[in-house]
Amino acid sequence: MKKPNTALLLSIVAVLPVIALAVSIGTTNVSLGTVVRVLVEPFFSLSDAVVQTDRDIVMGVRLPRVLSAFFIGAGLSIIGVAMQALVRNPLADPFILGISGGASAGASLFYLGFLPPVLAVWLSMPLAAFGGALLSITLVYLIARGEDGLSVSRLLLAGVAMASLMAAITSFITYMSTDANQLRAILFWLLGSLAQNTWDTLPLIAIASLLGFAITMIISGQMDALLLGEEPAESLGVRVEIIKKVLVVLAAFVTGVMVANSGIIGFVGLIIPHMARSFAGISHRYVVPLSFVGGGIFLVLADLVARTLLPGQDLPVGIVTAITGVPFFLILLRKAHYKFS
Amino acid sequence: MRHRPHRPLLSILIVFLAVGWTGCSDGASRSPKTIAQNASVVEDGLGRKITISKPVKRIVSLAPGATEIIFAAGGLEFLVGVTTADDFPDAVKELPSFSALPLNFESVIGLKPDLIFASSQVNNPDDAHIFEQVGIPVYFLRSNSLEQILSGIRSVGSILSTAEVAEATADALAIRIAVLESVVVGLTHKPKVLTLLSSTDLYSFGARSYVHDLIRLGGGESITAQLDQDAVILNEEFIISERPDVIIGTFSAETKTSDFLINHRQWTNVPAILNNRIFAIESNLILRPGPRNVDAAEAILSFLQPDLLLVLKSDSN
Repeated sequence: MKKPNTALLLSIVAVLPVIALAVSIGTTNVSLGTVVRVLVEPFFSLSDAVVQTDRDIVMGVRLPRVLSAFFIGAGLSIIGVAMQALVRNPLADPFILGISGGASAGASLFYLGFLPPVLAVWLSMPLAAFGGALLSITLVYLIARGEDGLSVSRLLLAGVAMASLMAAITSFITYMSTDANQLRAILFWLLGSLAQNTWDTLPLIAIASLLGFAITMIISGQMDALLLGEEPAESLGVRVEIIKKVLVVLAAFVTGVMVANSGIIGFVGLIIPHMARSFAGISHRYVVPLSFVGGGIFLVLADLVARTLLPGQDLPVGIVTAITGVPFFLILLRKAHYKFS
Repeated sequence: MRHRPHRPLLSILIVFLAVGWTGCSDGASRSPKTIAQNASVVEDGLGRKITISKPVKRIVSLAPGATEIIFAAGGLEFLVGVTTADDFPDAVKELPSFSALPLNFESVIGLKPDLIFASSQVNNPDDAHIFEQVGIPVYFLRSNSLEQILSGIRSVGSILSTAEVAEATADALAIRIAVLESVVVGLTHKPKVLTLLSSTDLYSFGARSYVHDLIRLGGGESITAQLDQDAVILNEEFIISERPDVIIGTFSAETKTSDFLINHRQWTNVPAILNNRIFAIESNLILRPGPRNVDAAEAILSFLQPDLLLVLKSDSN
């Protein structure tokens, strides 16, 4: 028997130290003492003042970026769990079913000026990404739905095809664009980056991530039942069709917000839920919170590597998540023996 | 080694073919005999040994920077094709053009060049194999420093037998560079300069770029010169802690400090932003390695050290 509570407790305890570590390390050398002084400065009156440059770096750049990394990693991971439950297949992640692809196609259409801004730029991009994600997954959903309800294999096949189509649309838009500035920006974004995240973008990311967490927690019992198959779940009193719709819209919303703010960061939604299950078994009551916290910690650490590996430079974080995550995942796959459904 | 009994036969066949070929052609174009007589082996900017048969009559340039170097070397009349991105000098806009990224091999080969010039900054050395298989040599120009750009001009002049023009142009550029060196050598305060491609993202130039030469000749100190990569994407922290005094870039001339602050909110205390020291420079002067880089260096001097520019102008009058 696993000890899900121990694993969960340990990971929750680890969150603060990991965030503190990430905030205190960066391209520039800022001593731990200075970091602490900058952080407590708003609450206490300090005898010795902090240098403005250090304040700008810690409060202005690092803290919002680290917090964004946490919520984006947590959100992507939660959606991974939701998708795996939806299709009853451990292969699923936000990339499957065309969600990420649709989000990136929507966002790049906006970015290259094909879609008009709505209200404000920081809101338009997530809206365009959400629109793309929702359109993509709705099409997949409609194609996969037959007289016998939603077919999982049709869903997966249509999703993979839709992901390819959306990727091709994104590539086409990018390829046809003649503005070098936009091209550079979009390339960086397609590789996944947290560099653009500030205090402005953090609230929406946090809300999307926490909403995803709350809803998946509320329906964790129904998600457990879904793993048994749709008919057994139905016989247990689960309103399968409603749960599936909730998961689909939730996935489109959360993934849209994350992709709009960080580009395409792969593998978090695939690796973290599996790690969580290897520690906590398959009950969603434990897998959901453990994935949330684990995904957050993982992306904070991956981004730490991305922004410190090369002096003065930013590496796209998507590269780091894949390079560090995949070997670890393969080892886990070899060792872990849990039954998914 | 494996014994090949049919080898003599093969040689005879080749000789026959070669002779037959010569017989068929009008004799003016590449016959094996004339290649053997007039071929010379030269080493290009990447250290590749290539065989060029002279005289070179038709050349193609695979990059706008290479075109400008060819122009500086007096080789404009030999150009029979350039990329669609080429626009300098004006005359090249009339030439047949082809897409450079991705490279349209067929169009280039269709122009029947004797020699192709490429830029190590833009073109892929592997592309040369395709041209070499159809017998067209490719000469790569290297441009990691102003010095390499000048020696590129001289080399092109010697290949195209326009050495007189090339040497004169290169010497004139060398003099302008020497003058810049002499005016900035005594500077006690050299502002720290950040070079950016745009006001939105943080693409810049790392080690092995000629751009740092231009900043130095313009009386500044480039803060990205030490970063060990060619094309770098900087991180926000680096800029806040390096505190550049000036930002020079290929953004539009109307770019204001407020435009930077939209995308980089934490730069409020960066000296360049505080003191409104932001200068736009024409992208073709700085992004294309070529003779006009010296114009860029002089423009940078006018931004960074306007007083010195006056000295420079009164000297030359």
